[in-house]
Amino acid sequence: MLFSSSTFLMLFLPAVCAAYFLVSSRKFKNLILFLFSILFYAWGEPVYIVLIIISSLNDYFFAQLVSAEKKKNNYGRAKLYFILSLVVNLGLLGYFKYANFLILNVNWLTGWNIPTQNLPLPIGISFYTFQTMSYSIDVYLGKVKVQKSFLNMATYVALFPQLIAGPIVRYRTVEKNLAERVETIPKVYSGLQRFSFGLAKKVIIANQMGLIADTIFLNYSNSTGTVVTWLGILAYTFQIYFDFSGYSDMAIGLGRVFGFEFLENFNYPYISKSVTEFWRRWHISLSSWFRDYVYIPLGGNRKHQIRNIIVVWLLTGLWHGAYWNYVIWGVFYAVLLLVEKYLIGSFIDRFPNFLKWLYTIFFVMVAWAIFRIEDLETLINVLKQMFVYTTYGGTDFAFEYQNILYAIWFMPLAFLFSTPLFANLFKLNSSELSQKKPPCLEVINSVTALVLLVVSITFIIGGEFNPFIYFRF
Amino acid sequence: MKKTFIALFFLILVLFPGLSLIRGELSESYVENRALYKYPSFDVGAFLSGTYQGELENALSDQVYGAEFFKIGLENSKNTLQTVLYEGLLKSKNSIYKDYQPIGSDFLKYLPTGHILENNSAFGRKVYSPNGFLNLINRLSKMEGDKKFYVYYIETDYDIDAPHFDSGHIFYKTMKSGLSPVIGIERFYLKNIGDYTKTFYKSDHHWKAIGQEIGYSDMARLMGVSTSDLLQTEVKKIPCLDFVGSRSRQIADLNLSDTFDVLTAELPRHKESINGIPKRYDNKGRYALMKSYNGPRTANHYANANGWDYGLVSYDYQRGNGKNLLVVGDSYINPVNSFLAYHFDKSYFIDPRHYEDNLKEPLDLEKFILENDIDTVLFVGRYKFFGDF
Repeated sequence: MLFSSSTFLMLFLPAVCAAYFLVSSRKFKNLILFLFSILFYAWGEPVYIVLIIISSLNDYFFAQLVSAEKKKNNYGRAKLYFILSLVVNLGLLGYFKYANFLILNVNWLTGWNIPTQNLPLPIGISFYTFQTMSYSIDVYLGKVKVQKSFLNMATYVALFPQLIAGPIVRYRTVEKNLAERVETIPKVYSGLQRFSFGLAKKVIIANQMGLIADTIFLNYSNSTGTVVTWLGILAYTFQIYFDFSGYSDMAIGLGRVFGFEFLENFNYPYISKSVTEFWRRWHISLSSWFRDYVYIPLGGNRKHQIRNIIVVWLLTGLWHGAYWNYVIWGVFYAVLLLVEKYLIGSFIDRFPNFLKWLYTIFFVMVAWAIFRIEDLETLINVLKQMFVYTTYGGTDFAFEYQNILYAIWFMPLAFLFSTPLFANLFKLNSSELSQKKPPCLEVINSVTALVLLVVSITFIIGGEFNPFIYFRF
Repeated sequence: MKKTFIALFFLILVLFPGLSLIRGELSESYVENRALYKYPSFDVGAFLSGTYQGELENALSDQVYGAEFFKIGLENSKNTLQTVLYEGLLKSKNSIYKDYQPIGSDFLKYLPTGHILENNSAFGRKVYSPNGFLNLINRLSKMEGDKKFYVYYIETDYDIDAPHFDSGHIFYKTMKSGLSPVIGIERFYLKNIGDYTKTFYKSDHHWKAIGQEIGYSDMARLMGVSTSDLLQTEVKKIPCLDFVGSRSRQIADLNLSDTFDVLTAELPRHKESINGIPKRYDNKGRYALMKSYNGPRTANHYANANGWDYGLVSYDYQRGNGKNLLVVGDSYINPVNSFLAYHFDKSYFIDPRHYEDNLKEPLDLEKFILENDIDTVLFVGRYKFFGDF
């Protein structure tokens, strides 16, 4: 089920909130969250609900065994159970996400003809697998206590606000929340407001940017031209940010309604003044996951740093999808980060801020081009037209691309809202709960949130174009 | 303040579906010119296959209170934004586009007359092929007996150059070149946008009475009726009737309308039936005499006046000439059914889109031709009709 669907907004959300706040015991609240989360997932892919249950059972039982063996000082066995839990987790992810990619490449390399599996990718498998793995790893490392209640464990894994597109909520973040969170009126108010802003980012801005990008890239040809190609990349740059950060806002907001505090996932990445800074601000939950569970265990900055960076970025690329363009995208970032770190970082530091920003956004946009185009032949064509000037029949653009003309008006909005200008003005940043705001700002924010909710509903009911980019990752 | 916000938030979410439950389910949208999705009943099989979820989402979008208002509002806003940028980019230039203004992604407005045209230049437009139809008619034309087969292709805005994405009349040419030589073919020819604006409504995808008149004459002569035997037809304009056609409704511009007209003729007494039940088919007589109109503005007058689409409409003129006609066509044939039937003993008009649903049996043309002693078969329609076989 999508957050930006009529079914979610008009039926699911009111129903889950009513049921949740009607019961008082924590156990029942968790049970309600779990059952509604299962329904939420089953709405999109009823059969694959089995995978979530298997994933939850796997990490629940192996973590119990790991903990029990550790208590008995039997570390060898604990390690064995830990590895087995990882094998199941990575096995499921590998089979459903990467098997075809592997088979196609083996066939290509060897000339064999191994039949491919035509299985649809389970929604959100990359997100919930990384979440359950974080639990097992942290239990093994002794960073969190083992969860005794399967209901709590399953609620954590299946928790619908972050189930299908993140942020990747680590167990340690919500460990306390699962047992003793507090739901308050200010939290519900703040959560719903955050949800409304996230919904607007997705429905009002991301979808219009998506229309531009899709129209240009789905009809891409040798004559698309440099200006239109860059317009498409710019639109995609905005689309992916507003789509994904909007989803994260909705997830964080909904979590807050039910008393959970998820960590922030974005921090205005497009104002970054270096690629390194960009990755501190973009998909924070993923980059910090790789930092803590891959980069640092490999040696981090202490040893083999270049190798570690390359490994992490290869994995980051592959995490996004089983296509070569994601691998290239990961390698591209690895090279950029290494070049910035070892060669040009100090040189760029001397640039004026605007040039630093221009340098960063340029490479980020080139990277998004690689990310967007899965077909390698088209990707080469796109990159060629980005950098070798090709004209496009001037006024033909407005006629040929007439269905995207209205959406172009949303680009200035996208630009404005990708900066913290309004959030600072209206005190809408991440510490919004703890901030004392003047009453007039409260009123302005509340009215804005309600107006945006109505406008978003108008777009949902009136529009047909409603894809979620991060849905399949 | 916080509690008020929370209450209003949920009120907004439940208000629209709640009011729709009080109002009851709607069955069709005049604006979108289609049947609306209705709330599905729950079924485990449908849920597991995902169809229930899709149907519920569609039903919510269609049935929530004010859905039409939301859709019109959004569509109009998009069109306004599109027009402003389009005019800024193109209208100031002396270009071939200056007479055309895009409306959404599917339509263009031809500015000199206000006609709404299909936008054939937009990406992803479905390409229609007559191959399925050609296979069918070429097979039928080999039937035993002295049966004559004809095709009348109605060119529409799909076939003309608007403004420079010229289809080259490819659909007609492809169809003609693929037909068996024993089959006669003619077309309602549109040379250019001028021909189109003369013979088609601004706000609807159908032909006006003047177009219907040309079509009747073409089809009758194609089937061997001499010019002197043609009915004396008359175009009657109905000034009191502001016709908001299908395309106006599709682009949510209910201010764009036509003066409605009907094509009439004096016809001798005859029998008519719809799906086998004796019943008058059209309402042209009542429309021709209309002096005032107080009904719904978005009513489908083309169908109300000329007849709706049915699986089978039959005429018996008892001409005694022993000739029986079968016409297989789309809604373009409806206004001239009775005129064509006038030249035959018994005539049958089949709309294949509705036949099985209305008659509760699959359409078997070969069987129908034999059982009803048909000797003349005519296929009539536009590209979608011939492209859907």
